Amino acid sequence: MIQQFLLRFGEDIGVHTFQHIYLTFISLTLSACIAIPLGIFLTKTRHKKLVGVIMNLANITQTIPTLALLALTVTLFIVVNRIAGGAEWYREGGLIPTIGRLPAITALVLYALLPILRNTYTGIKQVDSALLEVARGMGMSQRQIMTQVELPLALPFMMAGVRISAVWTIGIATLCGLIGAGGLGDLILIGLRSNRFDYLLAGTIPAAILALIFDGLMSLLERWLTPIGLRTAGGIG
Amino acid sequence: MILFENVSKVYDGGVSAVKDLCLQIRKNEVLVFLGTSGSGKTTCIKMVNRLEEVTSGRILVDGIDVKQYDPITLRRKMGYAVQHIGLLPHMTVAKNIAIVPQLLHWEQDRIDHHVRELLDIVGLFPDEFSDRYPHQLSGGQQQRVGVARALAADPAILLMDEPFGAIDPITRYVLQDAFLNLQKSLRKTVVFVTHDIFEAVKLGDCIALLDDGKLQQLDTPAQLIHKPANRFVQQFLGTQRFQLMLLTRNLGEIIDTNSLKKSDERLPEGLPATVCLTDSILDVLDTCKKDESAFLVIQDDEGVVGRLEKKDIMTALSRLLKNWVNT
Repeated sequence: MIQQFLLRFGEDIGVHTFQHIYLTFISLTLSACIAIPLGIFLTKTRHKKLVGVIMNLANITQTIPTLALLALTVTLFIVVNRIAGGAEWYREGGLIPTIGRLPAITALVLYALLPILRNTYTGIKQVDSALLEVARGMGMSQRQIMTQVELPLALPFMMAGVRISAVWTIGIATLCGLIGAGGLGDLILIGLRSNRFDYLLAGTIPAAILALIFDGLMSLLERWLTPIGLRTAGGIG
Repeated sequence: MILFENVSKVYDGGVSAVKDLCLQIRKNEVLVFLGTSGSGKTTCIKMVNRLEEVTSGRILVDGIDVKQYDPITLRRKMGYAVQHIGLLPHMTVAKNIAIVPQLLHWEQDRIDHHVRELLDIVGLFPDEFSDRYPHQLSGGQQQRVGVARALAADPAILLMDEPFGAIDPITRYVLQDAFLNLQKSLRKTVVFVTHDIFEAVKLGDCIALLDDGKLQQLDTPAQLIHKPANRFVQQFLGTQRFQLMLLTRNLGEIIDTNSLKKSDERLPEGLPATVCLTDSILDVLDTCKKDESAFLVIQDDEGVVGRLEKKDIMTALSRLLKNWVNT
């Protein structure tokens, strides 16, 4: 039976899984590229209010239901097109595509920001201030303190943030099928619309397995990036 | 040489931590800032390497105002050791010690060689400890690494902010002895901060007693104990002053060295115990208590100079105490 299932859906699963990974990977990379520098910046800025504002923004993004965020992104893109292209609400070949991968990735990036941002910020903030003063007292420059003390010690935290985001993104990416971005969500949607249990399984099972694999890989990476002196499990590094 | 000229420090928010401090730390000497918490002693040490800036007055290092140095260059010239050790947990012992030499771009061979030397100096086997991480060391071993790290770039000046504060009394005692031995051979100019008067008396060539940011007395340990400058100093010494007095006076000061009985007859091997004229009276009493014979063998730098009946020591001691109580 499993063999029949794979014969029937093997190709579909392959293609959609690849799309799914593509969506997740691009979104996660972009998100990390924004959130990590932003998080570092927030620990250094003198404007304490800015920290509150940005953290709240990221928090709010998180509280918007995923489906609504997708819809909002699409709407936002339509508005952008309208401003750029004149009076029509929607027309083919506008400035930016309003459905498909671009709005999907935008929404996913927004969603994945918070865990990475928050963990980068707290990861750096939790570094013992006495340690920083010793580093300063030994004659390290601000940049040396950052690269030799703060970042290595914050790395496990940052990686944990990326890992949370990765698992979330894989789950949420199934919804992106709704706006034509592809991925395993497509199979699930077909299953739902036509009441086909086999399609539902063909979408759901790979998505779950993908989440587990990503989680496993990330935790390996997290452990690998944790400085040896901080690894507790296993005692002597 | 380090010179404090009318140094004051007022923190943002108006807290005045140091008030009009003038003092001099001579080359190759250990100056101890002593005081309760909040007395400004840590601020004093941090102003030397500009972790804190002076509000008014100035601090001169080798005749140059510290403000004229680039703070980073200044700090790399001085070893810095602190309470709670401050070893970087993600670096091995060797890497921790190598931080400042690395910052100064020493050659790797020279660094490796020097790190091994330093570990030897502070009494840790290089082969055993180089590649360990701080969390794999005991508190005392971490402190030793902290001291080695402060010595790493061979600075002329050492700043030590309660370096032995966070460890048990026995280990602290051992480390203090190790520090004294080191200082005998290395002869650094040391600025040392502690709240422990016994540590101050034991390690300091000079003690600056601070209270509420004001210098109460600047003196040698013996002078501080014997001639407290004011009521605060007396209170600070408290009842410990008796023990401190016995710690700062040595045997040579209370006995008449001419009256020593020359040891013509052969002394039994190993017995009785030997003490030096420069040993503190406290140590001599300790030896008296441990040893059962009726007399002690007295030594000076050159060798045995004679022997002394225990009861003579007691007589001298009671004379000293009588004088002490009456003044």
